Amino acid sequence: MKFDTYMHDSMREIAQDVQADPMLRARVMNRVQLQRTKTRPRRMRFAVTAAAALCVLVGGAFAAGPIIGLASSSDASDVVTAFSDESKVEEQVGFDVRLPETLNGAAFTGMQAMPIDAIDADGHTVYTFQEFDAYYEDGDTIPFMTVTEAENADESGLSDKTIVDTREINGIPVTYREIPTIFLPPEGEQPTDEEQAAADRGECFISYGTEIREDGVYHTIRWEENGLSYSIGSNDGDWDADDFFAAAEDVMNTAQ
Amino acid sequence: MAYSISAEGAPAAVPDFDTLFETYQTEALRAAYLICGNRADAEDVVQDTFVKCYESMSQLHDPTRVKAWLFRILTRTAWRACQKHRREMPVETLYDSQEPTDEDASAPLLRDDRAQTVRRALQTLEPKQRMTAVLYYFNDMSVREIAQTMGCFEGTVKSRLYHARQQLKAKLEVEFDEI
Repeated sequence: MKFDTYMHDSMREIAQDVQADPMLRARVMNRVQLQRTKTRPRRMRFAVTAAAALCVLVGGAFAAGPIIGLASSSDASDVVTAFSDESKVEEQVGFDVRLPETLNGAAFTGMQAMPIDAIDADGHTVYTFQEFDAYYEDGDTIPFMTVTEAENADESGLSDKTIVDTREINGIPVTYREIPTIFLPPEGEQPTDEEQAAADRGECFISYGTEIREDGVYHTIRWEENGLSYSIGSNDGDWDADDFFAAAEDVMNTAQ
Repeated sequence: MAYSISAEGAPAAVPDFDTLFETYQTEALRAAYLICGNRADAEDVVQDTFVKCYESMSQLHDPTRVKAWLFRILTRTAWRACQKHRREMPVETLYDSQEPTDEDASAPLLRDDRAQTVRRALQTLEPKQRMTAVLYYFNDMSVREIAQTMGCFEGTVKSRLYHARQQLKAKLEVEFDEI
């Protein structure tokens, strides 16, 4: 028997019983569903990544499997640009928020109600909650605010090493973080072992989808008030910690 | 977008993601299984591969290169998995760990000793040689297609195939006189 034929037949024989099953399909589609969130505006990508990376929430309280991620299928077409339509978006999410027209000088550009699916390892939606997102712009800095009910937010998956400063505003503790970010092309360059280990420890974010490697910093500030979790985030930009604390103060001083 | 096959056998249009997955999931899983040597790692590789495909679908414009594009991502993902696996496990225990066990219900039932011996011999190859051999023997790719898939020169593919053949023959000749 010719060697090449022998190898061809043997490999076919070895692999013939290996079948892709529904579980594999569920795993892949589940991950893809998470990636679909990246079709949202760039300024939101890390908020989504962060939420998914946290693997938070209360999976044990549900009959289905543990929550492994969060996903949303909303897109930019759902954005409401008229500031006066705040109540309509609040009605969609089911709670009222403090929504300033300017955020540390950044101008309001839009808002939307964002349904978020908490999904298990099989790709099943265990439950859905609502998120209020508002977008602003200040030159090269494009901050966005995310508000959700506090029970749906948790930063326990993030390392404390990312905390830069914690202050009190109006008696409420406010935490500011700077998280290194690495965007990589789907093919080619991969994170180093050290970078992957840091990501596993919640010290940085690694994501894919750019044509070339992009290193940056995701800035985020978060606090809880009246049962709601507020966070303001930005990829890179010109704002420093003081700017984010000022932005948080703008939100807190806005009527709900 | 519809995914149709032209008269020449090449896809007439770039498939949408769902069609891509349905079309290639089994072939990708089997190739990954041959490269990784076990089902669990193969599934991880396939999952990561398709997610990366989804992320970069917009970069795919040539429907004739869908398979090469997919397997390029798969081989790179598998390469990384092999490197990681090799670091995590002592070499002397690597191959034993990849033998199917009674507990591993997903492991395929090997038809006979020949398949099992080839499987074991395949796992002794250096990862890039193994990938080249799998693409050549299992996926029926030409040397040129493998070069495009693995992002290397045709001469490199030929060299890897040559050395893979030599090593496989050396491993298998002991047990199979007919080779």
